[in-house]
Amino acid sequence: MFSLRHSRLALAILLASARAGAADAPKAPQAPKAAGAPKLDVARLSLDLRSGDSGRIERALEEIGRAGPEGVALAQPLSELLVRGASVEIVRKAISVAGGIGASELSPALAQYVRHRAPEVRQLAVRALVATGGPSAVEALRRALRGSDPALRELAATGLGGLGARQALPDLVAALDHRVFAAARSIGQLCAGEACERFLGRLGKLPLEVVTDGLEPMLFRPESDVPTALKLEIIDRVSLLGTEPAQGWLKGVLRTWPAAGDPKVKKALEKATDTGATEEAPPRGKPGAGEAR
Amino acid sequence: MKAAPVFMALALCAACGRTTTPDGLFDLSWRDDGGAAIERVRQRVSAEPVPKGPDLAVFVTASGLVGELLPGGARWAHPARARFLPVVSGSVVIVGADKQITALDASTGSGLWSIDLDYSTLVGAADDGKLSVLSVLSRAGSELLAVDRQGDVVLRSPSASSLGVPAVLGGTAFVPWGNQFVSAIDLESGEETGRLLARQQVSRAVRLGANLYFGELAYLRFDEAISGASEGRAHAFQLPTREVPGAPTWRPGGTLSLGASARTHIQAYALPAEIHAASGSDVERSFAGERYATTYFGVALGFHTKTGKLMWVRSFSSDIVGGAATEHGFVFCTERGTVEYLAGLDGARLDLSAPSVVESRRGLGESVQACAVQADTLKFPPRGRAESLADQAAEALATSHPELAAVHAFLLGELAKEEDPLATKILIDVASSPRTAPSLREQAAFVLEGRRTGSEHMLAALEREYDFLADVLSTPPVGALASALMAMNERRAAPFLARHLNAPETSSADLEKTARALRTLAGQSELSELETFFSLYRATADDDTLVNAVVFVAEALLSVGGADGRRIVQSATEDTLTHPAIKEKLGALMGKKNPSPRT
Repeated sequence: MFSLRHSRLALAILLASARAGAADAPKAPQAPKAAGAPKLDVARLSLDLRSGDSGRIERALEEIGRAGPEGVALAQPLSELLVRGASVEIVRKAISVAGGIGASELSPALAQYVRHRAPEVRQLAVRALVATGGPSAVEALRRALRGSDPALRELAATGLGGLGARQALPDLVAALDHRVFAAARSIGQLCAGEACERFLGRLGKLPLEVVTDGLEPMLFRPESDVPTALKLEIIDRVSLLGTEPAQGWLKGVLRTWPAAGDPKVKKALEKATDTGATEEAPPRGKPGAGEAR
Repeated sequence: MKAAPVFMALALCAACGRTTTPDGLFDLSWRDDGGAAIERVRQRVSAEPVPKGPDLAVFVTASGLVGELLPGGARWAHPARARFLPVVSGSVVIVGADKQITALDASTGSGLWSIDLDYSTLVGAADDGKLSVLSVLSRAGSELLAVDRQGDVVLRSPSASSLGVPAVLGGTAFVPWGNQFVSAIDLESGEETGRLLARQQVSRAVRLGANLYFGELAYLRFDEAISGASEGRAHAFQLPTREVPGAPTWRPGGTLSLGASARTHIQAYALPAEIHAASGSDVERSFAGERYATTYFGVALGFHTKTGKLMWVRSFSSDIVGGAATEHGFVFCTERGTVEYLAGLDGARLDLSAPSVVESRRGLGESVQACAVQADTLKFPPRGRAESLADQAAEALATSHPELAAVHAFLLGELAKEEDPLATKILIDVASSPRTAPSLREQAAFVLEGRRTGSEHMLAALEREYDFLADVLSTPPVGALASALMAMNERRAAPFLARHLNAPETSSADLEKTARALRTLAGQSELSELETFFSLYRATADDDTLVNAVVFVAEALLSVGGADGRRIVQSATEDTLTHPAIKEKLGALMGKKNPSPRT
């Protein structure tokens, strides 16, 4: 079974590898560039990518990959290469480089590779699309969520949250119903209103670690997205489980609670974990009521 | 009931039994009289009443026998532990048990007589309302016995030749022997009163309906033509030869050892009859309803007696362990102890509704080993039409049991002959279902490729794509459908085929057939999918099927892609990254005259 711990790790790897470019390439330098670093020779590299010579193409991809997002100037010829197709080795490098560039104009060319017959190419394409984003990326990931490749479904479920694809929420809920547990976090990242409340309703019906994977982003989202009242209810209901894992999760959230975060939520976390609260906050709506357990 | 040891009966009571000398019965030194004597026998016995008895099913269980009057009538039980399938003959049931043979009243199950006998096999038995005749194998060899209602053995004759299944009518026993003779024996005198020599194998004498028949593979009717048997002029009835699951044989009458249980599950059933010929005026020898049935475990199949065509199929929740053919249909009894009635023409299940029938539908509550049926007077009520053969086959194919693999494969072959578009749908369902055995799925797909009707069902199937979230977890047999629709020039298939072309769930084998079909069927609407496939694999194709698929798609691009399509293929031909095998074929393609673009 796909472990939630693995799902979080997968998300981290997904985003890291997408931003860093090819797996073998050194990490892209972060902007702003240091003064005096060689610029990409766009004209030459464009010719190389269009040359049809595998050696030239591979060398060009390595050079562009090292530039990271700076390679956006080569998006057009890179896109053409992907559309034209090439050997598996070149395609893999090209996809990774496209992910490293992260430009949405690369998404249409990348999207077709989500349907490639080679599983590793499909997975590389999904990772890259999470970085490039845009409507084509969302559509491709939504399609991958319905496919026969379980690993791809998990990656796609995770990626849709990262893309902010709110329109994919019904698919993610359906995926969670089909035990694609990676969808939980994305639901937590994307839901609003009733959808969030319905997700909270899965507490006790799904493994705790699955549900909390979705509840956690809800707690950290701004109030305009997820109202404080709902956050307090989340804390209350998890606390009422009374189990060690539930307490552990609450403590973990409290530990990472930002200083500028909602103080009411923080207080509720403290109360739920019996840490740091010196006066009892009255339960919601019932002044003077005892501590709820 | 009398149970006298044989040797004591012979020694002490001459009137109780008589041993005919070898010079008498079953003597090979016989001169063919041209059928004169046997004809006299026929004329004499034809005036005798045919022994009547109830319509009855006799079940053999571990605890004994259960008789059920048909349809759905009273039941009786008897503790006899049968070693052989009981024989129901008119008003009597004859049971071979261990060192004992017993006769029961067919209507009530009460004992009529029982004899102790040291024998190994009960070959057959029959009764004419007064006397029972038995053919047995013992240490002494083959023997014929006649037993009266008091249980006295009134005749006993050993034979050096093997004796077959006897029949009896009007005090005359008809005994096949030596694989070619049938002797008529007067049971009062013990003398042979007539003999026929058949020019074919004959090991059984059996009453079917109102007539006697003699034979083994073909059966000669005991009628005015019987005297010509030695010259091959007797009226013969034989089922057509065709391959049927289990290779069942038509062996009416007789009995069989219950150790060989599989034979009870694989049988053929038919009732000889005369029917009006197509011209309307003549009658011809055939079988009732022009149908015969075979059984294979839990499945019954109905065939046309002239053409051998499969006419109907029925599956049951438990194995069929016995049955009989009647004038209007077939009666089968099952391992669960139920009795099923099927109309002969189309296999319609008959509902002989009555409270007692409902009771009998629940079975016996214990497993049945075998069953013997007599249904000479059973009338079938009027009924509606049965479903089509295709529908019946679908129901039979839905029963998944490893035992039924042979009949499932057979049904697929038969469906291939059906024009009915529903047969196409059934083949698609079988080929798509993950519950179907792989070999059967393969066969269904193979048959599907040859279909030329049911295109609407094919298109509906192709519309279905793998969708995990919608619980569509299987794909249709895309390759087989592609080939069939290509042969039918069904262009509406093109968009579906194009989507399947780029679906990773489509197998390599199906991919090649799909691409080949698109070469013929694709239009400009499919260009995007064709281009995607071509670009994804023209440099990475790693097996022959994928190479061929890419080349077929290239041909499609040349046909419908216009200048852009030609440019794409031309570029690939010149690109060093294109797979060498593909490059070579594309070069040859481009070297030929381009096909005219289709509008």
